Amino acid sequence: MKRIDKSVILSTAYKKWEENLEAHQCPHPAYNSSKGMFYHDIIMNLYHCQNGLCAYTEKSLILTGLENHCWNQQGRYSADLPSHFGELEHFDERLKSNKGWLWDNLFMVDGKVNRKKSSRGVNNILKPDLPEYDPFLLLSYDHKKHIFFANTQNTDLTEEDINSINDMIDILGINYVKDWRRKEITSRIKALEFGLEPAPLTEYHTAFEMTKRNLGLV
Amino acid sequence: MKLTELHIKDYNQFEDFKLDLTYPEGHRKAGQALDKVCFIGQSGTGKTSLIELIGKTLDSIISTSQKGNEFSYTKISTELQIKFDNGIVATIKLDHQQPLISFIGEKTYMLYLSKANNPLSNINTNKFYLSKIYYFPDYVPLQKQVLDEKTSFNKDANFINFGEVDFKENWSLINDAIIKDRELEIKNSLETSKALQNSELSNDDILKIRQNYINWRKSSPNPIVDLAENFLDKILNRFNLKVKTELDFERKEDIETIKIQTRQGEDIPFDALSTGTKQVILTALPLYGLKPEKAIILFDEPERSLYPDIQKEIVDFYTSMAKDSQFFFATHSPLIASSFEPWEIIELKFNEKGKVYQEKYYEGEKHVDNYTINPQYLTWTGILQKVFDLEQESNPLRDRQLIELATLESKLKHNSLTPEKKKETFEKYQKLATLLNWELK
Repeated sequence: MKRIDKSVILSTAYKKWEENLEAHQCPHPAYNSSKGMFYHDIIMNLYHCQNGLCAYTEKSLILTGLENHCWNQQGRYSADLPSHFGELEHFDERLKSNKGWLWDNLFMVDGKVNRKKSSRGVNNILKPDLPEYDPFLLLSYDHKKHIFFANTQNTDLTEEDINSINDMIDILGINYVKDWRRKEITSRIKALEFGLEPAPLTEYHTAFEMTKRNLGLV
Repeated sequence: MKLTELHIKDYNQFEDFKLDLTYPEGHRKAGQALDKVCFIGQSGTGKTSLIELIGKTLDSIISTSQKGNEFSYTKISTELQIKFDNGIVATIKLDHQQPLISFIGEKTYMLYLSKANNPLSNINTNKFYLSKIYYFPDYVPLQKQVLDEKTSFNKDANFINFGEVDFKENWSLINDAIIKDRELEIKNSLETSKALQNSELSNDDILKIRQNYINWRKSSPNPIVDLAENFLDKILNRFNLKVKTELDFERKEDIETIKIQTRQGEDIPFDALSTGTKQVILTALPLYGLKPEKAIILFDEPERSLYPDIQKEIVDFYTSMAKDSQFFFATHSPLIASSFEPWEIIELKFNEKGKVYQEKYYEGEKHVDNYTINPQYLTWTGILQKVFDLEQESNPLRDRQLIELATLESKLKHNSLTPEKKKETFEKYQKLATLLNWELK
C-alpha cells in the first residue's frame, strides 16, 4: 500500500466548497453517492493522486482520463467519466453521516474490496495519505504467501502496533488481491533472476519492491 | 451421428449463440465432433436448457426424418441450427402458431431440414446413422414420475428421458439378459454333461469338452457378473458395497431387482442405500442394459450427491459404458470439469445485455497450442479460480491467519527472542501452520 499524496488539487471548485463547510463547521449534505454535486470531480481527482490505482491494494482501476486537460478553468472535471472499476470509499465509516464529502477521508478503492471491507472500527496507523505513513517502515511482504503483514523488524513498533497493523491489513482488504499480485510479481521476479528485463509493472509496486529487497535483487 | 455445431439465433437468453463442437487444429481428432462436452456457468446461464434443447431437438429431427416427410428451409429470425458430422444441417424454427413437433418449456418448434450439404434422403435411408438420445436429468427417480400412466417404457425409442422411467423398467433390460443367460447356461451345461456321458471319450476329448464350456462362459460372461466386476463394483466398493452376483433363481423375486450387499456379504435393501449410491446405480443400469452405440447421451449434474473422489471418476465411468457416442454434461463441479480437455468445456457467461456467450479459453486461432487454460493440468483450487472464476482461494478468515503466520515467522527469523519465547513462538507457529495446511519450507 503506497503512500498517497492528496495535496494536488485539480477539483478546485469542490475543494473550495468543502473547505468552506469545514471552516464554518457545517454538517455536510447527506452522502448519497453518485447524486453528489462534485462526485465525478472527487473521483477523478483521487484517481489522479492515486495514479489510477486502488488506494489499499494498488490494483489498477482506471487507464484513461487522468490527464490534466480534462479539467476546466472553473476547477471541474469536464469530460465523461471513463470506464473504471473503483468505488468511492470512506476510510472511516463513522464520518460518512456528517462529513460524507470530507476530502481527507475519501479514497478510490477496488469495488470488490470496498464491498467486503469490514465494518470494524479503523485505526489511522495505515491511513495511506498521512505524512507519517511509510509502508516500508510499517509493513513487510511475505513473497511466498504473497501477503502483507506488520513489520516486526521495526523496533519502534510495539506489540499493540503490530496487532493493529495486522488488523488494519485485514480490514482494508490489502491481501484480497494476493492471487493477482502473485501472478504479476512472480513472473517479473523470475525474469530478474534469469537476468532479463522484466515487463514494466503498472500495479503492486510496493509488494514488488519489497519482494526484490527480500530476495536481495536490489 | 454427432453434433459438430450449434447455432441459436434467438431463444431466451441466447442471441446469435454459436458453438463449435469440434476438436481444434493440432489435435489428433482435429475437425471431428467432440466425444464429450461439458457445460459450465453460473446458475441461469442455460446449461440445463441447452442439454434439454439438444435432446428434444434431436428427437424431433430423428422422429421427423423417419416419417419420410418433405421439409423446406425457411429463413426465420428465431431459429436453432444444428450441424451434424454427416453434413446435415437441421434448422428448428420457433413458432407458437404451428403444430407441436418438439416441446420445450412453453415454446413450440417447427422443424426444417436443410438439403444444403446432403440430400435429405440420406438421413431417411441410412438409419444406421441415426442416434438414440438418452437423457439423465439431475435426479433419476426410483418410481415413474409421469402423470400419464399409459406411457410405457420403450427401450427402442429414439429418445429416453430417464427422469420418467421406473426403476423396474430400467432393471428389466438387465433382467432379460440375466434370464437369457441363465437359459443358455442350463442348455450348455446339459449339452456338456450329455457329451461327457459318452464312455468312449478319451481324456483329451473330455478336456476339450470342458474347455469348450469354459470358453463359452468366457466369451459371453454372466451379465450380472460383468456389470459388477467391470462397472458398478468399481464405484460401489468405495461405499463398502458390491453387486450380489450369486443369484438364486428359485423364486421370481430373487431376480426382480438388483441386489446390493456389503463387501462382507450382508444384503442391503435398495431403499436403505444412500442417495448418491442410488443415483450411480439408477444411471449406470440403463447404460449397461442398452449398451449405447453412436448415441447422444445427456447428463445434467452428474455430481449430484457424490463424494469428491467419485466425482472425479464418474465421467470416465459413464463414457466407458457407451461406444462411439457423444456425451453432454452440465455441471457446477470443478471435479467433474477436471475430466475434460479444455476444448471440451463450454463456459457460459452473461454479457452486459444479459445475453449468454461462450468464454473462450484460447487466443487467436482455435488451435491446441493457443489454449491458455487446461483443467486437466490444474489443481482443484486452480480449476475453481481459473475455470469457475472464483476470485479467492479460501475463506477470508484464512487470509487473516496467514498474516498471523507470516508475523510469527518473521519474529522467529529476525527478532532476538529469549530461548523460552522462541520455543513458545515456534510451537504457536507450527500449530497454526498445521491448521492452515501451510507446508513448512
